[in-house]
Amino acid sequence: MTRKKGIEGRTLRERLKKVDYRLFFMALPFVIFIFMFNYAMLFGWIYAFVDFMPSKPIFQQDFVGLKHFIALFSYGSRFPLALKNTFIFGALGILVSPVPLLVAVLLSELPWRKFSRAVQTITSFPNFISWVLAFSLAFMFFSVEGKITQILIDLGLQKEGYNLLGDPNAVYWFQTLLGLWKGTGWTAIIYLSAIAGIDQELYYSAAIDGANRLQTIWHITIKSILPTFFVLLVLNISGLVSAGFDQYWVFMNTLTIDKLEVLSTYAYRIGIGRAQISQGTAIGIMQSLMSTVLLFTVNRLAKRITGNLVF
Amino acid sequence: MKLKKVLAVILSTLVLISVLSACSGSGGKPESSNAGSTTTNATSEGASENKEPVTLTVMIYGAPAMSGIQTDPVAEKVKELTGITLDVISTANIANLSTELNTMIASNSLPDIVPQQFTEHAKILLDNDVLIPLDDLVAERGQEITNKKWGQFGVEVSKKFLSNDTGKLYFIMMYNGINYNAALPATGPYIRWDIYKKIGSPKVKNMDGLLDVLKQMQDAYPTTENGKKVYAISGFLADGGWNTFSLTAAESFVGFRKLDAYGLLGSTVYNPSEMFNAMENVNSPTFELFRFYNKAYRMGILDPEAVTMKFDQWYEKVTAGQVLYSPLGLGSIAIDGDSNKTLLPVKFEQFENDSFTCQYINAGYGYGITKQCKYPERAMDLLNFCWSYDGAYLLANGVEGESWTEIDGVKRLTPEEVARRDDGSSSGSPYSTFIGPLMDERTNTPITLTNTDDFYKTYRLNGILKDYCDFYKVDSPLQVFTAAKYNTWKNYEAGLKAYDDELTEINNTIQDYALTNLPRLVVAESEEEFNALCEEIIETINKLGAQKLIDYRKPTYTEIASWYEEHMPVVD
Amino acid sequence: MVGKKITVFDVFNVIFFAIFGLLCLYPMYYLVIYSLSNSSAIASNPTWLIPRGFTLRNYAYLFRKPEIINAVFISASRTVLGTLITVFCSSFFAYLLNKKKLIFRKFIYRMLVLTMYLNAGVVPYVILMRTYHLNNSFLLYIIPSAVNAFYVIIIKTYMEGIPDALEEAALLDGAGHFRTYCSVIFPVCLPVIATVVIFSAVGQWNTWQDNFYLVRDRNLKTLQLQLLEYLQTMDQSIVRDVNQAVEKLNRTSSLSLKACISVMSMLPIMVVYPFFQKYFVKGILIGSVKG
Repeated sequence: MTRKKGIEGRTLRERLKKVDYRLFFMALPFVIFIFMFNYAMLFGWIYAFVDFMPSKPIFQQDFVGLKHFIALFSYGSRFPLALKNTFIFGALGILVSPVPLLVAVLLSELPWRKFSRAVQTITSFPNFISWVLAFSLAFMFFSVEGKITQILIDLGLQKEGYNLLGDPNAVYWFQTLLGLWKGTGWTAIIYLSAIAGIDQELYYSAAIDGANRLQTIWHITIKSILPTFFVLLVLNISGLVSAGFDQYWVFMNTLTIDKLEVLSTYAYRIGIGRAQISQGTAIGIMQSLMSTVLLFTVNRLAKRITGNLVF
Repeated sequence: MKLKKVLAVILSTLVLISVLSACSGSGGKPESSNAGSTTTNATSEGASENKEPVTLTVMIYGAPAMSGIQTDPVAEKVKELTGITLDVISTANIANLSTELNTMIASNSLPDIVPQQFTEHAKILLDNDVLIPLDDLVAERGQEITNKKWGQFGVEVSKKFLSNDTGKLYFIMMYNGINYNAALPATGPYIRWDIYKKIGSPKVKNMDGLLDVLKQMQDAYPTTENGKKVYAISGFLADGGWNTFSLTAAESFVGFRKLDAYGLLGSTVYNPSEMFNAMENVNSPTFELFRFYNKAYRMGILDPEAVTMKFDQWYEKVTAGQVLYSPLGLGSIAIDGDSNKTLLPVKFEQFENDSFTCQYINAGYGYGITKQCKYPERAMDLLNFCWSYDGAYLLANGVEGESWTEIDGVKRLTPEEVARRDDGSSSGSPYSTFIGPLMDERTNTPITLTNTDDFYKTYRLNGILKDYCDFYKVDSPLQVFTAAKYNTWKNYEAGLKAYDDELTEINNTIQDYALTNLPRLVVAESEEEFNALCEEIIETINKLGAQKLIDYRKPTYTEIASWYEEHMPVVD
Repeated sequence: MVGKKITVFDVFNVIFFAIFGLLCLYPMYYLVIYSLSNSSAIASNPTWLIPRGFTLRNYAYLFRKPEIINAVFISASRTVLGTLITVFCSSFFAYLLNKKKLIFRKFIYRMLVLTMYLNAGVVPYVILMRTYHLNNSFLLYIIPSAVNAFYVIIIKTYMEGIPDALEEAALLDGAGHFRTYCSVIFPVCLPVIATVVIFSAVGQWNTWQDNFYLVRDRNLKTLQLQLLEYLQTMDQSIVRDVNQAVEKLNRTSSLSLKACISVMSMLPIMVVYPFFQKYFVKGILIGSVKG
């Protein structure tokens, strides 16, 4: 059984000789910072294991063990439903994750720079429309009297009086499309910056080798920004359990709520709406745990497939 | 060269940051008392002898959103008369007062004066022991509270129900009394008056009769001038906030809360002073309410989109003229800019059997003084001031002389002030809910001057509103409804004990279930389907533990009701 | 780039973005004209291209009070300062994390990544910030956001693509780590830095939760929170002020205000974009720094 290989794969002592202590001291403030502002807050996880009384100091709270976690699965709890919807939306999100990448690539291939810049700016606009307003806009276009609905009826695809916003069968793909509309332009910015960093030499060599347009795009542009894509993909997967609150909250109504209830909305409903802080925290812990597990699993998986860890 | 640039940026950044940090943190601290005591000319009732200037942090419930130290004329006047500077914490952006209270307690950031609206809030504050008992303070400095019938009543309510059974006084109740408003009621069967007149103003017998009339109206006016489809009734069932307004807690349909003020969109058809179990059968008042909407749906006069709309969309449709009925008074909607095209509440013929909340009797919101307040006597001074007539009139209406005057013993808003409010440049006093008494016990008129008969007669009784009053032969719209047998709703809210954890759990689960499922009743396709759905809901809610809630509340409810009847100042 | 001929691919590309661009542009445009329209007029008579009853009343409702000027100042300050701090800290940290010689590198990086998924709720956040005495201080707006895991990750990923040769050249010249970072790495990373600047600026401009929970000082109120408070006032007054005159025709509506606020939230991006878009051009930097 060989020891874990670190720098140049020697023993710990020899490795220590190779490190640069200055680096560590320079990084130390940041590490302390992370601890102070991200990990220190986790003392709050205790609330999930007690019957929270805000005036009592932490160590005097009533310990109740896993009571709040078990309650999440009791009869009538919407937690399992929320879990299911969260995973479905997460899966759909992963499915469409290449879209911003492709859009960025296409943007970078546009022939006129002024047009390209203008379009890039414009595609990021939806990001600034709050979800509350996005709902109003969606209502305008997709309601029973909405313009798009009219078009669909004229085309014979839907009956008169079709209400897209109240159709539970449309929820999953409609919300995914909305999410794409809202986020693609914004996410594409990341890919655009990655594309901007590609070594021009590669393009010259490709040209010399006689590659055509599409080949160049595939082998140079896309290949060079794949690392960024994978990183974002892993982050996406890990984060799917926390994903989205405003979007789903805003489109909820009696007909669609069973499809739109996700962990974040459920946590909000309980934790903030009802001030059941203990239960809200319990959900938060479950989300964090699931994310961590997902993160490490996907990381390992990536190593199996591509040979490299993403994180 | 690059490095120099970077260093320059860093330096200027640091300078800016230090400047900005120095600017902050100056507010919120109590001023030192070296300003000396300020004496005023006016001998204001309720102003304490010791006018040491202090700043108090106050969380005002129901006030329009504004936070920080206040500098408007009313706040300045308060400072002049009492020496107290108001540092307000607004409740407007708070998703839920309970969460906010919990957060503040946990992080030691409670204000000096903290509100409670429901018994849950009182429970949080009392269980965590963050309030000081006020019995002595009230005796010393609370004369304005105890010298009024309703003030005294508030004290008794507080001692009995909001003290965790200790009998001590922790909350001073404010916004207390009869909420009389001569004007149009806040909720009621509002219909498009011009169209109603067009079809000949047929008499409306009752809620079912209203459906027929609405159908006639929709038939007479199927599309707006711009060609948009008109539905007599629409709604905003998808709006989380408002939906809960109508289905506030499991209680509203296990039957311990009167549906009129909380009912789905405001109208109701039963005797509100009796307790009922909405889960008993499919004909209970809760389901009656939804049946109204379902019948409308099956008659074709309910907008099927009501299920997916939010308040904004519904409001737009009303403004566009696409909706002919509203359960909420929306003030001055003038459709297409025509003031004749507005919604006004129609009178029912069978009022003896129906009720509309146009006046409610309030034990009010409670305000407690927290232990971290450094000047509890001054806090009591402030609350006392709010209960004094000088203070109440000031806080409700604005500064005397500027916003209102007294002529021949009648207090009235000045024409300039009314004009300012009408064009939007003024929205009145921001503290209008921070008053003690709702009525002036000396004259039996509302303290908020926009609610008085006099105001209505002087400023509002013109144009279409005059027509309306003439039509029903009354002096003010309120009188249309005072004819109803149960036009006042006595709020026993403060007496209902908060649930413990297990019952809260059940309550919340039922509420979740109800929120999602009750609106389905609206779009049932037939009477049978409607009843079947009712049965299903009853069954599920019972399975979720509704009976426990009923068993908990039932015995106490009758006690509370009779206690209130005994102690409440006589209402004529 | 390859020759300037327009190919079929280009044609499809342009058409695609014309459509997609329209889908993105029109809703925003609609919000702008909605915010400039008379609320009741546009409700009864919807429009597609021009405002109905052009009015600035909706904006006037939001901006008539003097405290708005201070709010704009605060928001602008936190945007500029917060972004500067975040960009510097996140990028330098990313640089350090890229150095294989950093001890515990993998561990630190994973701890960093995990911060994105660890959430303990509002109460611990408030308690902690108060413990650090960051409540009621401008520093609350700019310090806690200094190291942002997401930004660090994308910067680091970008830096991984930089050829080692560049750095080794600087080290050979005797430069220390910080010097190398400033003169060599940072300039080469400008595209991703530009991205972080944009994201961070927008985030700072639109954040209001820290203000809401922890800062009560009126002088430190951010624009976004102030606007939300006005919106709340409007919402409440619709229900409470039943007693208004029937002739009050020009009242603004909740939806109009929301449209205004959305338009306002776009301001920093409109200011920042023109400066930073040039960094998104392909290869503009690597080629010039080489050699």
